[in-house]
Amino acid sequence: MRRLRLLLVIAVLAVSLRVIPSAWCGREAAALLDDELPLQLAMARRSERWRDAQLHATAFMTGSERFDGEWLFGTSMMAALGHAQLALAHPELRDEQVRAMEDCIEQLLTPRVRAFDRAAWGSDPLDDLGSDRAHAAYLGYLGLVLSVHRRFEPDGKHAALHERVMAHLHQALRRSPIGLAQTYPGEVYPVDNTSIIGALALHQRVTGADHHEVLDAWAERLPSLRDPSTGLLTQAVARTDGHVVDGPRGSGTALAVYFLSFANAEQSRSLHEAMRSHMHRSLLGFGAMREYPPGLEGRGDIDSGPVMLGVSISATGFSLAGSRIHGDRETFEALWSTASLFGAPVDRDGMRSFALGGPLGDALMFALLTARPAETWMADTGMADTGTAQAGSASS
Amino acid sequence: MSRRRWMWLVGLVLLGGLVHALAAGAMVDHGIAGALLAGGGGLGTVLAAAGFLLLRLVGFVALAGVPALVLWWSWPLHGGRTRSGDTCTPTVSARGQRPFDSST
Repeated sequence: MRRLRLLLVIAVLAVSLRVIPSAWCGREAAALLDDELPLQLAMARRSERWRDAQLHATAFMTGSERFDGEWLFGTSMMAALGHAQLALAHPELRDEQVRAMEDCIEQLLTPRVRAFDRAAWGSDPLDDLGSDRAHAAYLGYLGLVLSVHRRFEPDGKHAALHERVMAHLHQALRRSPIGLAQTYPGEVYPVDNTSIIGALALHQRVTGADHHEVLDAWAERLPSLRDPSTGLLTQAVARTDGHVVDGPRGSGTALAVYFLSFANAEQSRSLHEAMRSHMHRSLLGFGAMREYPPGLEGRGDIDSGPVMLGVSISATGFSLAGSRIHGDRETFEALWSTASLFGAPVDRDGMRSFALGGPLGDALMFALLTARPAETWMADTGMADTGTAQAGSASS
Repeated sequence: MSRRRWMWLVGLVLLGGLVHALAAGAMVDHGIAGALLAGGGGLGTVLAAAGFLLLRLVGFVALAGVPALVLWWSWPLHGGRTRSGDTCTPTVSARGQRPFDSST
């Protein structure tokens, strides 16, 4: 009898461990997937509070001035995308959310937010519009935000700047010997170029501008930027001949899934499938994404965040967007359980914060958890998916 | 399972939830949120964030253990019923006298 009791208790413990934590942490997955307003609004309100706080780079504690500046920039950039996506999900809030988005754009245009890019290039990105200095770290992502905003306000106050940024990025890609723009001098990251592609494609759809040359070149180039065995996106390449400098990574691939969804649904889906096939891991109902492909290990970096047992916070979090975008409910639910466990959402005063996220974490989650299906960005313009080449022949 | 054990269990669960909620709020209020992600801000900040995460993880494991613990406490190994036909027969009465003997 004593042994039977022990066995039964162990069995109950095993089942409880498998069910209770993941079920509790993942209980909001359905609500998030169904775009329930209270949750999305709570994240929006938190982003607005951070914006009102007029953050400086010193708030981010990365230990690096450059990365502090990137995170300051990223906080407003992701919040802007979140507001836009919320406006699309809930049209009754369009005006309010577009205004919030515009407030984020104003933040992005301030000298203190541009400072990180200015320090790296030795010149201001907005002053360098039209030059041969790409400034992809700033202009690529600003361009995407402006393209998204232009979808709402075709003749808005940022239209002229948007045109200049798009022309600059178009030329940056054309001028590059490898068809990719430099994020910082001498540094080329394919994932940062996906934001440029998203920006140009959306600009083309919204305004009728012609970016086919660079978009088609990107579509032809993309297979060579993907790992042949996994289909994951190479993290960094050399600016002269495009050889691999840093191999495929989960964080970069997952973020590229999100940015490419603004440009080409099939390219985005193909990368998401590669992530799901090769990088998805689960334990006791919690899902996560590896940072390095199976068989490879690494310590990660500022882009991946902490890497534990091979999985990274960034790859896992960014994949929330990919799974939402491509209707991958099962993966989303598993990843959300993990994101909730490690992010620790806190709800107070109608705002949702992530206790382990900080300003950037809050903004990222706002954007990733409101990401729209790729078809959203193709709709309402009457124009077909951009890019004529296939998504890539790398195995998945 | 004694009433005291139930109260302890419920109390610990509630206390754990309260401590967690307060710690999470403190993380947000004191700008520690994001420290673990960033990895900077000083050792104290990172340790505080790591400590909160550990508290959270341990808390969930403990919560998952509650059903097993309830089962362990509730499963009687020595049953309260006596053998069939037995009656409780005192050998000494309350006044120190032998109980009534029908044979005398």
